[in-house]
Amino acid sequence: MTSLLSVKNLTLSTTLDKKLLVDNVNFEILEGESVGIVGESGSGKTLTALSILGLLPKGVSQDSGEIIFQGKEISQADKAALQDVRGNRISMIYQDPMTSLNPMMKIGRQIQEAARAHNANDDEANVLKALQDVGIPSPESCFSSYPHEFSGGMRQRVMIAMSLLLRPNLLIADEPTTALDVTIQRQILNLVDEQRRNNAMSLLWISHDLSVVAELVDKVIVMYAGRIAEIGSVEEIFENPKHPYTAGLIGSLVKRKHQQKLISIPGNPPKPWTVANQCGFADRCAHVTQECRTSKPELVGEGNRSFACFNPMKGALL
Amino acid sequence: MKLEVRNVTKVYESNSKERTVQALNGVSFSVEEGSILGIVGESGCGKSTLSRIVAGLEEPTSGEVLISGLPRKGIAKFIRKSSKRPIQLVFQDPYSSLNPRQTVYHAIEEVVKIYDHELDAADTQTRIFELLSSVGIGKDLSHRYPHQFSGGQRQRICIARSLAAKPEILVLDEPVSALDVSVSADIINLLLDLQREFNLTYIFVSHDLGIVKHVSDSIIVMLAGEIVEFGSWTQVMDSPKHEYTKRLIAAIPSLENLKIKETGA
Repeated sequence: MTSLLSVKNLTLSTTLDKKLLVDNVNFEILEGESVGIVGESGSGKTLTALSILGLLPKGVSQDSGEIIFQGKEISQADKAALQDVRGNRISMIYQDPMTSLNPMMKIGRQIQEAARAHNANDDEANVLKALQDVGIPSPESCFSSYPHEFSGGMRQRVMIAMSLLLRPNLLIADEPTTALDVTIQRQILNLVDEQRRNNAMSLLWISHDLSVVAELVDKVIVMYAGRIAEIGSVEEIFENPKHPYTAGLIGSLVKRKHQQKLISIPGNPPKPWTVANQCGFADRCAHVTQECRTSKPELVGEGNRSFACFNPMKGALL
Repeated sequence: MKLEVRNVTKVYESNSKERTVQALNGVSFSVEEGSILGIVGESGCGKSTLSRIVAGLEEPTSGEVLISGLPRKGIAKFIRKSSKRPIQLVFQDPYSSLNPRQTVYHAIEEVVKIYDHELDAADTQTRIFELLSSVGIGKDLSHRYPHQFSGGQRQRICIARSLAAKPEILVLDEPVSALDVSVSADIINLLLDLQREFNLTYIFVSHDLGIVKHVSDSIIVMLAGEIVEFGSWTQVMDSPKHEYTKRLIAAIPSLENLKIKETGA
């Protein structure tokens, strides 16, 4: 498989006071591959995704790094070139479908507008088919409805329909099910998985929930305090986690006897800029040594299986 | 203290009374002293309305809430004079439940002064530190303001604040949904510890059946303002009767559902 997207040495910080937010992130997405980024709030997972599309919020700037999509560097590209990539070749769906849709515009027209902006087929028939593909029960009535007439799950389906209409090579999904009920979450997970397979699309799924990611992706990237803690296939991550943070996350998923203590990670995640020269996990780690507090562990290993830890876990956890 | 909810209905009306929303429809259940009742359901099923009615923040349209066999309205006077509140509520969002201009010490002091007003200054301080340490917040942090704490610590402070009223029943409305995964396990452990230590009764409201089944002795499943399933946690999890409960159970992401097990790797 060929590489679709590679992110190289991406470092982001606040523009004003140069606080480090994302520190030297490297990863690759192959064609047709599905990749998950897992991390807690503030771990830099969303910023990493936004920087792929050149959508960094005001006040955050890219200090270094390259984003290579289909062989071309796009992080320094001009607006027109980016516009060609955004939507056409990389689409993104967000956490809150209500704020992503225009409340004053009927759903059909919004989708047509998006299609027109990207010189795609904006025929009503084509839009109806897109709505049908994502499992909306009556596409015709959806076409002429406003977003408020729909539930959160249905709105997220509309967003997915809109982003798949342009047949992108990569779909970035930033916690699209967090605002939804669990039964609806299940439906959306199945839908995205099915669409990815049907369209031979790559997927980058961002979530704080390891268990959701694990059902959907081939490769998992675990982020912690602005850095990649560990990369590996789902099987490797679950069966043989190397970073103590990953092991802790998996531990908290493991079934415990009723009302027995859950395995938890003590303490709280630090801000990335406060741990720029040490291991970010040192204060919460059971295997901490002097080295962890004085120098920063680099990501070691090959591209598809690497981790950043001086004292990696040994042996299987489960 | 036993809590009983009898045939509670709640209807919200628009000003013109043209539109009504039936938030709760004939809800009845009871909770034994010292046990944990979990309530699950999706957004809009009425679980938050129910917890607010139990806590006395809303009045039911019809039906009643009995505490130790006494109607909640009847004991209102009696409660006001007593040095404790039987029911306290802990909310989902620890960010908006604390006054940003008040140190944590003062936030707790405020409550202690109401329920332990006979204490002198030194004893008040001891009581405040005792409450904070029961939730794992050290004395040295008590002079800090809410923004200096993380989400998990803030939720601990909210729990300490509700314990200051010496409740016997704690209504926990989505207490961990706003927290990070690695922190939420910590709070669950704390809640289970406190429950045993003070023999509290919990009403644990959540959309997440995975957490509810772990903590609860009995589980209520709600759908569209009605209870569709009520039983001990083993009954509900092992032999669900209602179709919706089955769907909820199937939707819990668990290690068994993972790809690795599917592929047999």
